[in-house]
Amino acid sequence: MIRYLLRRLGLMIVLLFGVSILVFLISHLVPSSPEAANLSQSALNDPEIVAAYKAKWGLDKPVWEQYLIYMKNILVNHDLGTSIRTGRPVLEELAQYFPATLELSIFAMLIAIVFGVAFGVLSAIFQNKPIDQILRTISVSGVSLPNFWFALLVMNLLCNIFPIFPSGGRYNARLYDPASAGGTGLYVLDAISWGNWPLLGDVLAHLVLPALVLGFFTMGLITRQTRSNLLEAMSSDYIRTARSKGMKESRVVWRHALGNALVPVITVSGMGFCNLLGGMVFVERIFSWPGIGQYAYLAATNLDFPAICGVSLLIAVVYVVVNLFIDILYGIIDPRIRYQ
Amino acid sequence: MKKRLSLLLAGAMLAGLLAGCGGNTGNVQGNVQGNAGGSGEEAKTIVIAGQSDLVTLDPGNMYEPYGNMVSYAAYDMLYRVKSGTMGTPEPSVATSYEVDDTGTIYTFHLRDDVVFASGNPLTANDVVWSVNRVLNMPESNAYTNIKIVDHVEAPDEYTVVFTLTQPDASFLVKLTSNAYCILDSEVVKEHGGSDSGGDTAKEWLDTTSAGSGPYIIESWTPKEQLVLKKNPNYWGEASNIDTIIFQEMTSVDAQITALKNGDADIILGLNSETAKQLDGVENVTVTTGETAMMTFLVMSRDASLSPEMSNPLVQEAVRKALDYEGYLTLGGTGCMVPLNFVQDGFSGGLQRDLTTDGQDLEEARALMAEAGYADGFEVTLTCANNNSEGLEWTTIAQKVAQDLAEINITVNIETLETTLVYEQMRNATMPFYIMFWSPDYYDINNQIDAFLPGTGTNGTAYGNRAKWERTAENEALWTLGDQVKTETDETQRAALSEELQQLYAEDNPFAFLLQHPKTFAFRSDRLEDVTYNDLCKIELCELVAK
Repeated sequence: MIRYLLRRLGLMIVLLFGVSILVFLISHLVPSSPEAANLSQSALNDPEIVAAYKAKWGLDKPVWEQYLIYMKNILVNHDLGTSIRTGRPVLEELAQYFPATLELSIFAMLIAIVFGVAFGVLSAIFQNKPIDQILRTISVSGVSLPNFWFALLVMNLLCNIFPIFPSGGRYNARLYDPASAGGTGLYVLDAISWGNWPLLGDVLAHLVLPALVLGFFTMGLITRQTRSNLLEAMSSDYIRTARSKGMKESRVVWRHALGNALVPVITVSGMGFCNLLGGMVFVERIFSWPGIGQYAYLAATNLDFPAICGVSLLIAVVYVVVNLFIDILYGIIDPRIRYQ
Repeated sequence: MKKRLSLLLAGAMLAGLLAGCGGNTGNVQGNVQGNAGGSGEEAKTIVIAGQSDLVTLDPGNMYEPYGNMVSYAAYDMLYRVKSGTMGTPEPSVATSYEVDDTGTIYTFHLRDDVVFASGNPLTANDVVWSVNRVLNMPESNAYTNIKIVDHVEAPDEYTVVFTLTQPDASFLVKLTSNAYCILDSEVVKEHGGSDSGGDTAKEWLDTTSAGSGPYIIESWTPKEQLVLKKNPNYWGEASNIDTIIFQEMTSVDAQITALKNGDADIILGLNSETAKQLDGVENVTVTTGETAMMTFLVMSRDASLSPEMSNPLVQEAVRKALDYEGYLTLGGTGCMVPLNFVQDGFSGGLQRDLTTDGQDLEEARALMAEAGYADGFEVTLTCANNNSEGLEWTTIAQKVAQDLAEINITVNIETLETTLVYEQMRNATMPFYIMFWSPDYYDINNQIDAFLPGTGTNGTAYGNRAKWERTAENEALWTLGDQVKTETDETQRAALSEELQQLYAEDNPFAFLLQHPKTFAFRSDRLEDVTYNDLCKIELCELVAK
């Protein structure tokens, strides 16, 4: 087990090294430049300002030299560099934006797993009945509706026409200021640890819609996977045996069939979590959620090389960690799986 | 056993992931409950929702559209923009000034009652230090406005003498920009500030302010919110608003909903279309302010890019073929069509007279025939994935294509990411494209330096971008331009400006389409009238809560 983990961690380092080279090269291949993206129109026409700007950010050096300096900073100084766009340390910025995205992802996954499994079980139990048809329609919508469209739909419906939920941001700025109060940046956790229940309610109210939109796709996947796995399990010999022994149907489903049916669902959940990161850019922009998706968008559109590399490395780490977590979970649920 | 170990490891990894994102949990829990828990005094707190694109709060580094909104609230300058005007300067920390006969030495006399938020008195030394700080930051966007200063001195505690590199009639206007914000030099020096290069105070100035304005920057979480608190040591008349919060909202729909629900008091991201969603909403006022933002077409004079489009006769035909009334409709209430490169609100700025100088297809076709292109030609119109005050450039491009089809020009629209278009614009590789322009300072001099002919190192921004060379034929433009740049009598300057624009209209490689308004809305049950000026957007110091 320990050897397996060490091997995976070793592979992660190789992967991150590869990601850094690829991202660095690709971002430098874009036919534009940071000075064009970040200097004002007048400044861009001033050779003195352009030269000073390029010298300040090391853009006057060859790409390979820029990369070596970047890697040296990471390995020696443990520093992801300074954002060209904002002039702030990239590590500091990632630490600021990541908690918002992590909190949103966790709640999106909670919605996806809880509702996905519940809908999948109900759908399988009531196969081909009206409830199955309704839930299948929902799950198909989840995997097929573009999330930006769904986001606008729920925002208009639940914020505008029926003003039940707040429309954007992470909290009501008029009432609270958790951002400047410090804490972990995971405001749900912070509000609980501070015992600030009104803030907790406000933060949860702001989380519902973006988490629902973000988790909708994964929920659809999980619903479909749970349903088909459960139906397959229900027709297995061991289920027939359990039934023939007079076991209650609810015990057959929840205790015997669902346990086996959920193993592939874990894989889907892991993939779904990684998919969330892709949908983050749209959802965060629509719901004004100050997370990594928005940061990545601004970094890309401003050709902010250090920020692009930093956010890519972070996402790569998340992918690897989540997949490793899923693999370990597999071993716990299915004892036949061994780590080699 | 193995199962338990696996479970333990999995749990530890998840906990590590959670803990990894909260780097600063150590010393803040003590004050969290006090700060985060309590609700503010609602009547004295104003929330502004918008998309600011603020990347720094250091006045020496900022140039973003909303930068001055913050710097005007937290800092003072010698001169500031007069309320509700397009860049008209009025004394602030300075009480008066004299300029010598050469037009290069300006002497300012300062008020003696101004104090910084720290309690330190504001003196001439602070002015000199603040200017020298930016003069030693040539990589900064703010440097553009300050490089006219050769050196600055403080002969006594309340007198400042600027020596310019050349006469500049727009110097007072430049003084109103963030580059000239006066910083509390003693305080900033303690945090890495330097007036001789190697300044490292930006990081600190991104978290707070060191000025003498009516507000103090309490906190800033980029892309989340900025909190301004009333400065208890403010030397001027205090506002009745204790806290101003700028909340970042990227989505206009979210802003509209927040205003309707009362979560926001002012929203800034509207355009004429989205503003319709607020028609008839109780206690909400939708209004517009004049901006200096222009959208225009650039037609390169580089024949190697397009021999047809680079022809001055074709360029004039394009100007004649455009349906300006249609663009005004697209732009909405408050839009204008400038005659050419000088906006309304600037010295002598002229608008296009659409009754005599509007769309004229007959003349446009005649010009095309005279140029030898009666049967038309095909050209690519490059359009960034961008907008001018909410009006998408792709919408403008479609209208241009439709208009030019009338004179047999087939326009193929190419849409690209904004940064790609900027790079091509800088390299002057596009024959025909849409662009916008907001001035660096609110004076015609900025327009002259950007739009008159001239290529190469000393060329103008759009002289270079349109490959419009300075020649003997167009030298008269510069003769007039140079007079405008140094003329200090405003009446005379406006007359020269008008003459310059009329001459410019005879031949140039641009088609100026629109000067845009800023559309915004506010809660009229919480605020008195909200004043807008394009330099600092909403004038925070003048907001009055009901």
